Amino acid sequence: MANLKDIKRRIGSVKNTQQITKAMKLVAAAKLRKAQEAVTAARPYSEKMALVMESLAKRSGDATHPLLQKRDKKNVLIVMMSGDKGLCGPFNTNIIKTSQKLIAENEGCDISIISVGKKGVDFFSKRPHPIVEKYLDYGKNISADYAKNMARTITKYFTDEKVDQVYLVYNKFKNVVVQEPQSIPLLPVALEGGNNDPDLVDYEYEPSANEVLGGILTLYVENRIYQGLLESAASENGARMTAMDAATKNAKEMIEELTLQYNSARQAAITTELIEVVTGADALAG
Amino acid sequence: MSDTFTLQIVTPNEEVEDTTASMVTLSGVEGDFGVLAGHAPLLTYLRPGTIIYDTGGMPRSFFVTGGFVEVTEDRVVVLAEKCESKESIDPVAANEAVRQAESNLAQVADDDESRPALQLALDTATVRVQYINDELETYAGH
Repeated sequence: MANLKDIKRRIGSVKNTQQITKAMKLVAAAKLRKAQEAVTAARPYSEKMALVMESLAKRSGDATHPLLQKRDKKNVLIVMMSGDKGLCGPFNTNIIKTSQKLIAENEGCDISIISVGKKGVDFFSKRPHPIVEKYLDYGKNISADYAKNMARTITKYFTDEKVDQVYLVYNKFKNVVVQEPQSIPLLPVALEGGNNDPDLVDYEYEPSANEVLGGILTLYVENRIYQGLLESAASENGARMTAMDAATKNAKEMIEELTLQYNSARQAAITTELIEVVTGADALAG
Repeated sequence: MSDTFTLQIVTPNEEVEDTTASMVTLSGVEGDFGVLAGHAPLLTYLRPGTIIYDTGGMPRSFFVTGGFVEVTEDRVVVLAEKCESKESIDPVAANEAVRQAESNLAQVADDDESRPALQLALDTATVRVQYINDELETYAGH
């Protein structure tokens, strides 16, 4: 049996860890609340946007625009939204796994990576696929403008024909415990069911079809990225909170177990001492 | 055909309005236009301006900085960049924003590439002040 001092030291160290995980849980919970509000508030816009895009597909499914241009898939760009920090359960691993699956599916294509978050950079810097852009520290400065800048950079890769297909990989925030890793094609923008519905008349465009289409497609791409960032931030905090909650619980269990061990060790020591005293006294009396 | 339509106004950060309206006036890039139910499908930009709509009671209004509007036979969807109600705008700050935009614009050369953006900022600020100064009753005639 381990000696008393050792056990006591271990109890102390587990207690310290527990304090840290507890603090991290509380911080994540506070951040999560904000992130969750932001993501819920942003959803109606995305939904309405999807509605407009759907209607656009039905009415002008044969529209042409650089952002709609389908090309032979040779160069693929994966925009993956990981986190800057670990200790958040499966959050980063899921993103990396989903990206790797996507890479496997696109075998034969040249793959490049844009990593949001340091964890993705850490992982792919040791892999053959080049990281063309990095977005670090995004958690603090998610805003529509931030997404706009990102969208501009990503779109440029596509319109310059450096890449033929862009995927977005992020964790969709379902609830605190469940985050779903997703990979969605971002560019070219797919007008779902892009067949003209003969019952519906095409839009009138003001000032011109080309300009309005360009504007709305750009906005759509920006919005997908913005929504992705928000979902990802909420997911990260949710995952961290769950992971830290579990860690705190584990620490508690461990402390209980160690305390039990400590007590029985102490008891054993006392018993041994007593026996020694008693045997000594017996010997003297004898 | 029903004489009302669904009006939805959203910004990237919130859902501003989801209602049934009988009429809406918007500031399109090609000029202000009004929409009634059964309007021809239309997709256009908004310039900084006012959205006024009628849901049966008092007409209500918002200031938008820009965005998109999709009009179909039975629906108007406004994807606004930013949307403010009259009550939420501080008149002092709004006037200050105009002065700030003016001085920003005055500081750059005529051929500076940031000029269009600054001009737009000034126009937006100006229209915003006009919006809060306008009495809503002016539109009540609709």
